[in-house]
Amino acid sequence: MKSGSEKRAEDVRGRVEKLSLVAMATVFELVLFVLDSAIPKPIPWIKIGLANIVTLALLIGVGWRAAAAVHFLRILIGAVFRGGLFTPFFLLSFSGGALSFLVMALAVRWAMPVLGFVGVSFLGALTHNFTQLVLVALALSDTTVMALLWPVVVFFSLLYGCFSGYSSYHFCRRIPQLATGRLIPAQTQAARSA
Amino acid sequence: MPKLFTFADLLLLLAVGGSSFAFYGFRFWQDRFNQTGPTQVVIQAGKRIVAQLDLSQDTTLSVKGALGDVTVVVSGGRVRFVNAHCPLKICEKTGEINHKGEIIVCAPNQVLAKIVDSTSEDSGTLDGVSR
Repeated sequence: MKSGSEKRAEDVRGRVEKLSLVAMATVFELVLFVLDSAIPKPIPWIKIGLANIVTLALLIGVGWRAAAAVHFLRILIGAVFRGGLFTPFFLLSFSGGALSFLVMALAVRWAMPVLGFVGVSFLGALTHNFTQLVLVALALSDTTVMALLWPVVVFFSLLYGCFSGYSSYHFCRRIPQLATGRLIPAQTQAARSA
Repeated sequence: MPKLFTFADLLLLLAVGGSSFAFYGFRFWQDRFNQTGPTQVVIQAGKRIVAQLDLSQDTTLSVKGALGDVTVVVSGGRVRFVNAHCPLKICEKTGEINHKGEIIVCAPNQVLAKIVDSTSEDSGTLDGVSR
């Protein structure tokens, strides 16, 4: 039977852990996001989705709340870094990010033992790029753009989605503390509560 | 921890990738075989359309430009400019054109030749990319 003060200490520890986790993971994502913008790519506006590695790992290892906090913080702060906050481009990246997060969260929740990291990551990449393509086509009111670019979008979603799914898997394996949200080692927790 | 790659992943990738590429291939194939009518060349001097010729017939046409006559030669399904009285001869250096949307311009002479599809509705204002 734990006393009230012990319970409170545990509660505080849990909150500190969560806060640190969100902060560290956000910084991690931001670094990857800036890196992603800096890497030369054949089609500059289709990003590799490096930051998505952390989002996917958190979705699987911690839960959708922490992942959502990190994901949307990264989109906002990333837009500040790149200097496009609340521009039409931000709207594109935000809606793409929001929808792909939704799809990935649902996939992790309902399809995860069947689908692996690569499948979920591919779904996320596809949703992200597809949303942006639809929005651009709506903005230009030109659907032929969509028909022409659709195979390109699918191709790069395949390529980059598989890559970031693979990276996310190894992120979970190599840095389990961050990927599962257990920043404070288990022994310490056991020792403290003893 | 979930697996990196499962059989369902493979099916998903193949289904989405395969179907969209198959769709694209089908459309491409359709475009290739639903070839619209004979290709023509439109020749403009200033804003006036001087002639619209079939590429299948070899002809030579002299067009009155701003600096002098420009000779437009249609031969073997291709169009080229010769003997333009302009300083840079960019139009002559453009060489031969034969694909829809391709264009030769002689800016000083204000003469232009453009390949169009005789059945396409807007053989007008936009180039091949923006259309």
